[in-house]
Amino acid sequence: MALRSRHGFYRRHGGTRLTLTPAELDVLGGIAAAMGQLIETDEPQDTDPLAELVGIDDEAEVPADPALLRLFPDAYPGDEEAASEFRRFTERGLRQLKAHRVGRLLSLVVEMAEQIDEDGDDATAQVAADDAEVLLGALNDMRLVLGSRLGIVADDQDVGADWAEGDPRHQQFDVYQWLTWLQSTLLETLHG
Amino acid sequence: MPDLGGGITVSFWHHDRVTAVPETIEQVEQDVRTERPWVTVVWNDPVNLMEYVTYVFMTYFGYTKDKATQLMMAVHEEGRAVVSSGSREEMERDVEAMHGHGLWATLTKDD
Repeated sequence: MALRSRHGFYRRHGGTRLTLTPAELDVLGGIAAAMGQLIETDEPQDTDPLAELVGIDDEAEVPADPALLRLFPDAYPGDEEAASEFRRFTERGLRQLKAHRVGRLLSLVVEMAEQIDEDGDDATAQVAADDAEVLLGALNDMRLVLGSRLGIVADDQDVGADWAEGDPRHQQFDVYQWLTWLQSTLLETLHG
Repeated sequence: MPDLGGGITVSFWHHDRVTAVPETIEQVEQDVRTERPWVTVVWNDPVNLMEYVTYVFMTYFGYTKDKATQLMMAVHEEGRAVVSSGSREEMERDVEAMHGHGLWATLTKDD
């Protein structure tokens, strides 16, 4: 059997592994860090320790940032009061969940980056079974935010058709597509 | 939901196998829509991958791959689909879980 170079997420000896190039690790670490900041920076401050204990957020408002609104959408269309009530009871927990997931991804990137030496060889890590879904969610959240930033709003959209040459969004769209590929390789390992 | 674009060599299952059965999609939605008054609706969006949405329906709701795939196709083709029904509290739990997974979900009273 010929040796095949493995890349992205893949199954090996009954477990899941991730192999990335140093450049890919760099990109992934950068987006994960930015994602963590986005979720945490905007975290509403809570002054009521009891409310905090049970996960209620009295300050939770509809996010002004469309990317955050996509992560935390209104649950009751056309019923502002019910939507706001739902937000107060769920948004804090959802933010913590998403921050936790992106934190796990960031730890994995750091672990892999430590393997890299001057040779610039790929880095590989074993992915714990219960981490696979965590990483899947983190990658999905990152794609949702990038998709929102890039104005991806329709299935059949010709993304980037109206961007000028040299528009930085072209490069961001490359990253978005790369994340799509990476998430797909992870989905394949989960479908087994 | 998008298919994977050019240059990406991941094999998603074939479309035609699941798109050819619109009656079945209605049936599945009918199964989900019971006598109970509240429903969870998942809306189509251009970022979530079809296979990811199917995966979430399977793992969270415990639906079979066939049922999860048909519901995913209903979301994709009709713009939205009822994916569960029950009490208001149950549907709030489902919607919160869908938001956790990054799906665009709402709940509403089933008329």
